[in-house]
Amino acid sequence: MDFKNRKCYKEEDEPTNSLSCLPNEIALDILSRLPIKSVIQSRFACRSWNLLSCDPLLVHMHMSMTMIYQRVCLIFHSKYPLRNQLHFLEFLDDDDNQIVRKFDTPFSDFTPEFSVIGSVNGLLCLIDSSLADSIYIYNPFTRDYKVIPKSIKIQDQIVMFGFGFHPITKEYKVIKIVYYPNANNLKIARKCNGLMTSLRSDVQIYNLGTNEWSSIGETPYRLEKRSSPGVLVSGRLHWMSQLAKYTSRPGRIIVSFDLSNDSFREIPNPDSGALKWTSSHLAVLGGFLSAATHLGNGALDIWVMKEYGVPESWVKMFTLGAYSPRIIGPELQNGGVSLHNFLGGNSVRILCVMKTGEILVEYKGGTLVCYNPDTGEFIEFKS
Amino acid sequence: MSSSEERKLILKSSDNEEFVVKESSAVQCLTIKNLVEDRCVSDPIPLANVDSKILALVIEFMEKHAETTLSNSEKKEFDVEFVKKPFDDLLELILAANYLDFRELMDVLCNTCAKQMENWSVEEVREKFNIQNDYTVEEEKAARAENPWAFE
Repeated sequence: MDFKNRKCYKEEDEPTNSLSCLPNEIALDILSRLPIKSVIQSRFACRSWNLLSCDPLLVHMHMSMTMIYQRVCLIFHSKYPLRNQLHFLEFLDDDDNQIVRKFDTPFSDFTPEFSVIGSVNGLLCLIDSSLADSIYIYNPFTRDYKVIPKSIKIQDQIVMFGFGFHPITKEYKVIKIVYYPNANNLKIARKCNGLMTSLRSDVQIYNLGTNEWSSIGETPYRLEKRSSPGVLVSGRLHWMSQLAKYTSRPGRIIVSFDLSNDSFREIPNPDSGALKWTSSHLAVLGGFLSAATHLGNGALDIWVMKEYGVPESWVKMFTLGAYSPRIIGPELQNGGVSLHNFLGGNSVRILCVMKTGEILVEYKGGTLVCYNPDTGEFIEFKS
Repeated sequence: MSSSEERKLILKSSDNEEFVVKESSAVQCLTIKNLVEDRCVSDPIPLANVDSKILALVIEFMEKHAETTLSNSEKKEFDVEFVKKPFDDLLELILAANYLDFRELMDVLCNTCAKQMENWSVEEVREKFNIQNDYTVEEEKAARAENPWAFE
């Protein structure tokens, strides 16, 4: 920074763009501390700031700030009336009135309905719900998107998905695990819905960097369809395996897929395997792999793996009591059936942990509730 | 008392005013710390990009934060009062903190600016940062139409 730059800021008779006096790295520093809505607004100040707001360094800094200040930002995919609406909500530090904002996708004209496969580092991975099966990687804030080349589709296939990023290899991948019947077993497979033992499998991997699909062939794991999409922790995607009836093991296990070397591993169950995860779902709480087991009546035991991969580090953090939301979610309100695939047909799942340590929980019908594990209090969000 | 606690430095502002500071406080500024460690310390240290008004404020912050007897909450209280200044002064302080590589001060100032900016309209942002709007009317309309949710 030389003297000339400093001087231009002070002189009021010279109408200069102050940006030339505020170095980019400082403007980025300030922008990275803004809530997302303000970052978008700042784009309209002038063209240089528009460019700045799309600077990849800003994304990196904004995410660091989000980690430091533990800001939670959620994107909701609403399934009613149409599976095509995205809403965004950012929990700011001291703001009690959070506003949910709806935003459109640039491809809504040709993809009327979609499902969300995953979200990493602000990127969303969406799949067209119709037979077209197009997969998009979408940046909701710059509105850039990429259509992924089509992968092989097999008749009568059951597909599990995952979208993830590995912090060391820095690769984004879409994982598609396909189960399909042998031509010979077609009739049998169709009769026994979900019976996977006689099915073949194919693990397909899309690498955003190379823009190519590849296959690593079969996998011995039979994963529970309803645990798709996978949950991302430490560069690995996680799903639940199917129940004992369909596999040789009792209960379920958590299966991980390492995005750096494309390999599967099992995550050992807590209690030296005593806990079987029979009716459970996965989540990420505060960056840790977590599992919630259903106790009936909507109550949950929340387990957290404090040290990734170390079975002894599974801790039962707390128990979420049974709770019936007072506010009926929009789906039930309108007489629609909840389309959520909760494992075991259960009606509640945990989403994430907030800055305050409260847990965000979703109930059947779409009601969002904040649960305080210390006080046991439930606070509902008004829609 | 070890001698390094007593060692003093002289900082000279762009308008030639000299300030005496404890070396232990001054090294919170990495720019100064590097000079000291490389033994390139001239006497006084000229800071061509910081005028006396701003340097005095930086030193006030620097010395407060170097005091080991103060608790974190006391320092936070000081910070809250410290940033109650006209926005132009805050910008000048940011430039100085950036030049001096004083991370703690940068964090406090940038957080303050961001907090204030949250409530501003685009027009206010332009005014406070003295930014020229170089969009055409059509461009601006089109850009806003793409992201209507940002303006609700």
